[in-house]
Amino acid sequence: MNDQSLGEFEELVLLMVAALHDEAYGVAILQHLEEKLDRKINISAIHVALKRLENKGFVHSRFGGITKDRGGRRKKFYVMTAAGKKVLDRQYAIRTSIYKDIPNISFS
Amino acid sequence: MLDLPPRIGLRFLRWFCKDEFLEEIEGDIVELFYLSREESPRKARFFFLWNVLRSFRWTNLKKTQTDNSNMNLLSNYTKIYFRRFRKETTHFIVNIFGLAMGLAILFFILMFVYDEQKIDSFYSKSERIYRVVEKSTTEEDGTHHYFCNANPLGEALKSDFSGIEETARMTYFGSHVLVKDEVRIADRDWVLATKGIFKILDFDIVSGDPLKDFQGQAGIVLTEDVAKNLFGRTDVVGEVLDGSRFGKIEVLAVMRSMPRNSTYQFKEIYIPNFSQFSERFQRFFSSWDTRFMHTWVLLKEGTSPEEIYTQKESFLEKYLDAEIKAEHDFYFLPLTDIHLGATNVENGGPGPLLAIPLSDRQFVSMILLMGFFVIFIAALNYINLSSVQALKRTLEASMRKINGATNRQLVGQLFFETLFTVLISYVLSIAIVAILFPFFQEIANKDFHFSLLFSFDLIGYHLFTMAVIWIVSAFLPALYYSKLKRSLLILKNAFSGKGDMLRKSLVGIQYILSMFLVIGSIVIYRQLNFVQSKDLGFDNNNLLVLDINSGSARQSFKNIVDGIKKSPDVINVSASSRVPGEWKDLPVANLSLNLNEDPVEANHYAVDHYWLDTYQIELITGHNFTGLDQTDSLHILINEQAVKMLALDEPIGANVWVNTRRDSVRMKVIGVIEDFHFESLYELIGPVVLTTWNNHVRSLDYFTVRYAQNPQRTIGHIEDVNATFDPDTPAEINFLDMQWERFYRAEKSRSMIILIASVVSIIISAFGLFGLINFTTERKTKEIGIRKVMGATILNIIYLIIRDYMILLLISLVISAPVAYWLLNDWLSDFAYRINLSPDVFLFAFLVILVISFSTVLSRIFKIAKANPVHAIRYE
Repeated sequence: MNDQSLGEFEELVLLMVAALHDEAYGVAILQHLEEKLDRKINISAIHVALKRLENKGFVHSRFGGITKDRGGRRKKFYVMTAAGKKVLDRQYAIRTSIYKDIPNISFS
Repeated sequence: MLDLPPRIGLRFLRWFCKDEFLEEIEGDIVELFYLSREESPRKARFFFLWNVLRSFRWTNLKKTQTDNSNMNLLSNYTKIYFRRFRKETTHFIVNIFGLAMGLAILFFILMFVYDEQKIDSFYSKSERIYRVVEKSTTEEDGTHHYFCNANPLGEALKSDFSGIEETARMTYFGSHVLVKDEVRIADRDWVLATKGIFKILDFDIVSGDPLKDFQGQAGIVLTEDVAKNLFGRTDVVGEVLDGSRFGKIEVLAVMRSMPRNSTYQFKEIYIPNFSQFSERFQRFFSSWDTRFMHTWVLLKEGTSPEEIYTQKESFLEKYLDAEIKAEHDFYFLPLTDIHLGATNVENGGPGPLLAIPLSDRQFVSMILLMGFFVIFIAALNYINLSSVQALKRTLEASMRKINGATNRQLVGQLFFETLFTVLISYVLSIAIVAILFPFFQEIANKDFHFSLLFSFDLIGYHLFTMAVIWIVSAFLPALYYSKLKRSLLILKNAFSGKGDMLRKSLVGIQYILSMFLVIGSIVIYRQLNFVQSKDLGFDNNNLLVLDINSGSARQSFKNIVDGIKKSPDVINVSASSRVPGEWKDLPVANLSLNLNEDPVEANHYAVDHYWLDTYQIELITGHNFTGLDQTDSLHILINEQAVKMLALDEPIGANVWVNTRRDSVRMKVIGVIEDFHFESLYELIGPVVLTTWNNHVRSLDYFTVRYAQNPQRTIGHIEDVNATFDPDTPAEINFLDMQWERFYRAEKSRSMIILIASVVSIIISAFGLFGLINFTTERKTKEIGIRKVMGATILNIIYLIIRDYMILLLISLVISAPVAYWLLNDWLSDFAYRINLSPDVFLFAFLVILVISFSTVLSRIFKIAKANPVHAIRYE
């Protein structure tokens, strides 16, 4: 598999990590994504996507401090790396360029 | 309690999850739990568990630790196993294939036997369903068991015994025709049955109600297929057929085809309304002095047949005259026993056609026994070969021991490796079964599903067989190992002589069993061949039989005979009441010289004057019928057997009383014909009497056509002629030799199964011998070298190696021959015409095994014997 590829769900998660800058951890990503997408997502799907992104080097992670609402467990925060930013930019560029090519036909 | 996340979920998560991911995953899931707890604690707990389950993913799983010493050992065993596999590929292939073939045969046989035993047991009330068998004892005939019962028996049983929930009666009389507009269907898969049958057996009714009332003499229930053929659709309940056995008839219900493991496959069920029958028939169906109906009984729950029997005596007395009472004694035969336990029961009258011919337990156990023979041979083989292999590995074993392996570990290795081999052979055997499955269905004459192999009832046998083979074959070499002394191990060939006796006796047993199977299959094959090629007394090739199914065909039979004769393909045509190899009842006429004498019971054929020529039955003395109806009507022809039994010195011109059910007439014998077989060769030829066609007892039921060539065109021609004279009935044409084949079909499939099993057993045994001789020659390499240097010839060497095995073969012949002789004689005694067991059968079997066994090893021995002795001496 191409290391630079990005699945649709991975892309969404990566975008969310970027958007939540410094506050991005599993539950936060989940809640924001569910809100935006208006559908239910399972936390384990987020975990898998995050791990893949980390393996590809698009995000990196660190542990936060101990919090009460998790029964003393630390949060794992994710931030986007430069590589992650680059791949998002490329993805965005490709999409807009193709989108521009759509002939001006009325679809209504 | 509800405040905290469920403990079990947490524990499970902590158990499977990688440490590095655990904190994040657990933290997130717990946080979500607390968030959703606000809404509903119960839901939150459920949601928590769901999340844990969803996190149970491959990427999150802890990887098994590989630094465990047991795991290390196992991976080392595996490695060694496959290295040896590569080094001794021949040995492994032989070993695995032999075992897999044995297992495959066993699996086939298990499926076959399982299916045989399950026939008719699929009905929801199977355990309470019985069929009534009449036991008739007469002075002349002795005791007979009949499926056909007195006509009113079923009704009387139901009204007189409170333990009987329901009864049904059924009967059958030849072929029938169903007509709807232009479509006509003629088949034999129908039955006339009273309504009760729908309460006893489960029919899969798609629409309609078979129990409802109807107009006319009978209603009918059709299968979907028949309905489709007749109407082009299946929603035909309430429709009326234009023609049938009972004229216009209403379709009461449509059902699905019956399951394939049912003895009967009814496609059309007529339901009679006896009160609408003509008076004559009503009288017939209520007469106790008849035997025309098969009776089915459904007992109430908790009632046993014995409870019914206690009142049987008074029941019989109530309905039967003293004089026929003994003829109509009855008992109940469980439905599930019919297929395998009714060989002694005759139809004794008309009976619906069986979709699956009856078999018997003896055959099923014989086949099962053979399956175990084969697997036994394969297992012995395997045990032998693997113990030999284990001996070759003493060096490896000693190295392991010196490095600190315990005896238990050495034995454990053996068990581990054997398990590997057994599992590989198991997979291979399943593959063999899958590949040969269609072929097997053909041979066994069954159509069951592959998944049967893994059915709950059979999988136990798989596991059991494999466990036994596994444990025993690992155990024997393990015995040697555990007795080892460390110092001895380093020496090579520390055990070269050990276990030789045991191995040889195992080979001996193998050969006894194979010999046994080979002798059996040769004899069975010869007998069947004998039966099929025996001179029947007439020529049954090139004969076509056309059923007469209607009055109009019967009346214009002379025209039909003449019409069919016009074709250049046809040599001769005849009409008769029965044909040899008949599948309905064989009617009887009693012959006697004086009326008050004990009569000779002869089979009665009503024929025309073309009959002898058509069948090419030889007339020994006298002359044939003339074809002039007036002259012929009081003349008869009899066969040699009848002459013998009537003790006629001068048969021609003798006057004989011919007693039929209707009356007694004195007739003159005008000719004697050669004996011909009219039943299977299980039966002796009985006396036969031929009367001319215009008697009033037997109506003509068949045309027989002898054709010279082109059967297809002949059939077309017969159909045309039939259509001219009898436009309402489709022609029903059969090849006579195919009817004859029916007698031996069951035997054929049996002998095929036996043949295959014995071929496989020989191959397996040959495999074993190959492995053993391979081992022996390898062992004796040095000895052979020295002998050659001293001047031994190649023949000497070959003799040296196979001498022992020759002796083994001879011993096994001596042991197996008498047992085989005894068993086969028993089997042959069922046939009225049989081959004799001559010594050449045994000699032939011996040679077959000898040739097959030694041809597999000869090249190997020859190579060693021819090799340069210098290499041999430097070996090791």
